[in-house]
Order: sequence, then structure tokens, then C-alpha cells
Amino acid sequence: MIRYLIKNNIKIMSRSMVNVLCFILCPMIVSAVLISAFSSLLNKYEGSTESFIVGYSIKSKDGSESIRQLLNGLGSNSDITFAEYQNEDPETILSNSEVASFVEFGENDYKIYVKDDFEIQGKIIEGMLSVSFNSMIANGTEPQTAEITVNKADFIPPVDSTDYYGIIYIVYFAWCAIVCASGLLSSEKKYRIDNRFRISGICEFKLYLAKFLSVSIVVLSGITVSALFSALFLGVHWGNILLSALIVFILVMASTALGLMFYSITNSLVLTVIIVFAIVWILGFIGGSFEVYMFSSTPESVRVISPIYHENRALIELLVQGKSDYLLSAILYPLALVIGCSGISVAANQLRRRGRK
Amino acid sequence: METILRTIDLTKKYGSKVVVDNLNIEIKKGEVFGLLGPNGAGKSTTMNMICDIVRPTLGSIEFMGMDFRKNKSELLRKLGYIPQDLAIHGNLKAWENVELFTSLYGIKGEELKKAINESLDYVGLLERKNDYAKNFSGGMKRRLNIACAIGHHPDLLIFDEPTVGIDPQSRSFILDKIKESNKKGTTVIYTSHYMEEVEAICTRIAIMDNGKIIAIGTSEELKKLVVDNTESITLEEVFLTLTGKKLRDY
Repeated sequence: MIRYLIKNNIKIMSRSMVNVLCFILCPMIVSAVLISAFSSLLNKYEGSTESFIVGYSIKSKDGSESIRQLLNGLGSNSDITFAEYQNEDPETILSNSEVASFVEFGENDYKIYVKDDFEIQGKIIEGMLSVSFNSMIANGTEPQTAEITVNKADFIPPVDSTDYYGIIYIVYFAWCAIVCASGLLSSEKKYRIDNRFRISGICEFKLYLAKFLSVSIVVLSGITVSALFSALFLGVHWGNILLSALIVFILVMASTALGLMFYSITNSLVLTVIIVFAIVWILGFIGGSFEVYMFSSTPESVRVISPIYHENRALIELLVQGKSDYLLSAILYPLALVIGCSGISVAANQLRRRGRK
Repeated sequence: METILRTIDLTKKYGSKVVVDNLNIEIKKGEVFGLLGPNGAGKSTTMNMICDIVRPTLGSIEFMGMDFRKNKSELLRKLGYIPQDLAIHGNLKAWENVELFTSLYGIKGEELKKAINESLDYVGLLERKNDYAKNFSGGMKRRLNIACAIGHHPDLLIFDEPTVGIDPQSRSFILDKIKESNKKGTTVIYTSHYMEEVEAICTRIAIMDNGKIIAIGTSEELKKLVVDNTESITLEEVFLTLTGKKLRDY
């Protein structure tokens, strides 16, 4: 029975062309703007944790040879290149060369200078030198070459900004499914279609299911078209297509369920759109939609609250690594939202029907 | 004649305001029952309670010999409601609107296709079945509104002011169709502010005011309540005599 409802709901939504066009074009436009604006941001970051140049100068005459040996050892054990400078200003060197960090060795101390955007490289070199010199003090020997194990999981794998923004904004706009549903919901409200549903005796669950499935299908179609267009025209790449599609499919369902839940509770489309947009904006903010999540100052404990963060990380990591530790949470978290929000929606509609005047 | 619908002490209160007050009416099978009343008399609330859109505060409804509340899902399928407000999707074609609302009653496949064509033919819109409802005139929308409620062949049809704001041709068409349905055995409850319509099609008429039935009977019987010579008075004059000329501003 509900297949006719689903079919006609889809027709109503797809005939509200403004909504559908917005839904297809918005992710493309926003990601295109951000790709061009921040193309260098991720380029600076990517790969620079793998290999970079460290400049140094030695003021002490006595220990200069042992320091050179130490740095040569550190360089041979990693992809770090150490370049010696004589009596030059460290800040000038950092600003005028490709050097990521500069170490000034004094008589009994050393000072590390770090270029903007290369804080992580600064931390790496600081850690290496600290371990090496501490072992020297502890053993009373010459400084030993220290091997620093860098936890790669703390750093993003290299990702192109085109792919990053292309994927992230598909996720973000998919969370705004209520835009697509608005054509249907406003038509039902305007023409009091609800009364016809009531006198037909159709149960709330079937009504909800028909609406939920039809909105999900339209949103998923719109998002798929948008993703295809951005792949064709912007050159956005996706990782494992099947897993990525599964994540997007479930997040679209979660987005639909979230929107319909607020509509069931408020019974006002305007209020629903405001609430959903505010929530999605907050989830996007902490989840990496506006601030690249690798550079985000938001603590990890806060970021994991946002389903958008799980989806962003899973999709990006699937692209650059082919696997992701966030894959399971990116599927289960929105799935839990689908079940929870749907339950609340049906209950709210039943309560409204029972308590009707 | 067999009773198809009976209201028993049907009452609806909004706070302390009683909108429908202990209403007891019986609708006989195969009749066209007219419900008249000034604005705010409680007609639409009564209709909405019969259709399960509004929940009664007190009392009950018996439909086809069964308690309505207890057998709601079964009985709602035997009911067709044509609301005063147009309840059609503008962005759907005429046949799609009929398909959507008729399918809610479990009709599908070939049976559904047949029901769509029959319903549209019944209201004279078969040739316009592929046109969008939003492009229809007021009268055509009203007719489509009717088509959406009859596809499942209900035993009782409830018309809530179906001729508001339409041209005389469309009104005449709708009234003829109501008579035609009635001849085929469908019971009709009809509310309107147009007295001549009610007089033309209804076999019995009830006049409602302040939530109560103040008079009930055939047109002749109602006229006799006011004057002996029924030819010297119209139904509208009877209505005004019984309900008064005071404006009802709700």
C-alpha cells in the first residue's frame, strides 16, 4: 500500500525543482569555493611530516663535531635533512628558505626556532634532540643518536584539498535533508492532507515509513548527482566506493530521520528548518566541516560527539589509506540515530493524533 | 429504514465551551441527510467527530451497527469524506492525486487503475487526468477533491460545504452527482449554507444551533414548524426564524 505513497511523495519532492537544484548545486559550489581558497592549506601539511629540512648553527667550538655526528645520525635514520648555517639570523633563514625548523646550539644549551604551520615538525625535532641529550647526560657519554617513533595516527595522511572539501561538503549538505522534504511537508500542511490520512485509517508507522523512505530516496539521488558532478567537474576522488556509498546512504537516512523527528515534535516547518540547520552547523563545526579536522583545536572528546566527524574521518581515511578506524562508528552512530529519531517521530505523531482537539 | 449512523449523547467541549452538546441523531441508510446551521453551530465539529478527525469529549458513534471507536479501522474504510478545504496536492496530476488517496484504502494494481478512471470520470475530469491540480480552476479542484474521496466506494459520503466559491455550472454538476450516488445506494450527509441546495437534494434536514439539533425533519415538516401554508415560506426563512437574525461572529 505504501508504495503508492512513496511514489507520489517522490514526485511531489522532485517537482519542487528549486529545492532539488539547491540540494545538488550547493555542495558543488561551496566545495569549489573552498578548494580554490584553501588549496595551499593542506598542501603545506601533507607529506611535510615525512621529510623536511632543519637548519642549524653551532656556536660552541668544543662540542661542534659531536653535534654534527649526532645530527648526521638523526638524518640518516629519518627523512630529515640537516643543513648547517654560519652566523646567520635564524628567523631570516626560516622566512627565506624551505627550512621548517632551525636549531641554534649554544655553549650549554640549544634553541629551536619553528616556522609557522610547521609546529609538528618542531615537536619532532625537539623530541629527537631531547632524548639524545638526556641519554648523554644520564650515561655521561657523547650524545647518542635517538630514534623517535612518530605516531602516524596522530597525523593526517596526505590528502588533496580538492578531495577533502569535495567529500566533506557532500557529507555536510546530506545532513540538510529537510530542505528536500520541505516541498512535501509544506504541501501536506497547506492542503491539510493529514485529515485525509486520518480518515483512511492508515497507521502512523506506515505514514512515517512512506515519508522517511521517499525523502531518503530523493536526498540520496540528489547527493549522488552532486557527488558525480563534483567528481567530473572538480576532480574529487572517493576511496572505497562501496564503503563510502554505505556511509553516505546511512547518513542520509539519519539526516532524514533527524529532520522528520523535529517536524513531528514541532509541527512547524520553519521551526524545524531553523533547529536542524543550527544543529547541523554545530555538528559540522566540531566535526571538521568548516575547520579542517586535522588542524582543529576542538578536543577529540568533543569531536567524537558529532556524527559528521566520524563520517568525515572515515571517508577521508578510506580515500587516503583504504581503511579507517572510524568506519564502524561512521555506520553505527547514524544507524542509532535513525532508530532513535524514527521511534520519537512515530511516538510524537501518535501522541498528537490522540491528543488532537 | 435501517439506521446506518447514530450518534449517542455526542459532546465536544473546548475548555468550558460546549461546541456540540449531547447530540443524538440517526441517519437512515440510503438517505441524503442535510445538516444546516449558522457559523459556529457545531456542524463541522460533528462531521469531524464522525470522521475521527476530532475526538469526542463524551458520547459515542454507532456506524453500521458497530461501535465506531472499537471498529475504527474497519469502519473508516466504509466512509468517504469531502472536506470543506481542498485536500489535494497541487504538484501532482489529477490521476496521481486520486491514486495517492485511493491507495490508502488498500486498493492496488488494476483495481486501482480502474478506480482512478471511474472516479475521474464521475467528476468529469477524465480528459484532464494528466493535468496538474495546481492548474485547475476552483470548480475543477472541488471536483477533484470529491474524486479523491470516492475511489474506494464508501457506503457513507460526508460532504462538508462542497460548493463553496464555485460557479453555478460546477455547483449544479456536483449536486447532480450527489443525487446520482444516492440513487446507487450511497448514504450522504451534506452540510451547506446554501438553503436551496439542501432543499433540492436532501431527504431529511436537521437545523443545528449552539451545538444542539433544534429542528429535524423533511423540508415540508420544517416549514410546518413555522407556518401552516408551506408554500408561502422558504427554507431560508424557516432557518432564520428558528436560529434568529443575530450575527454569529466566531
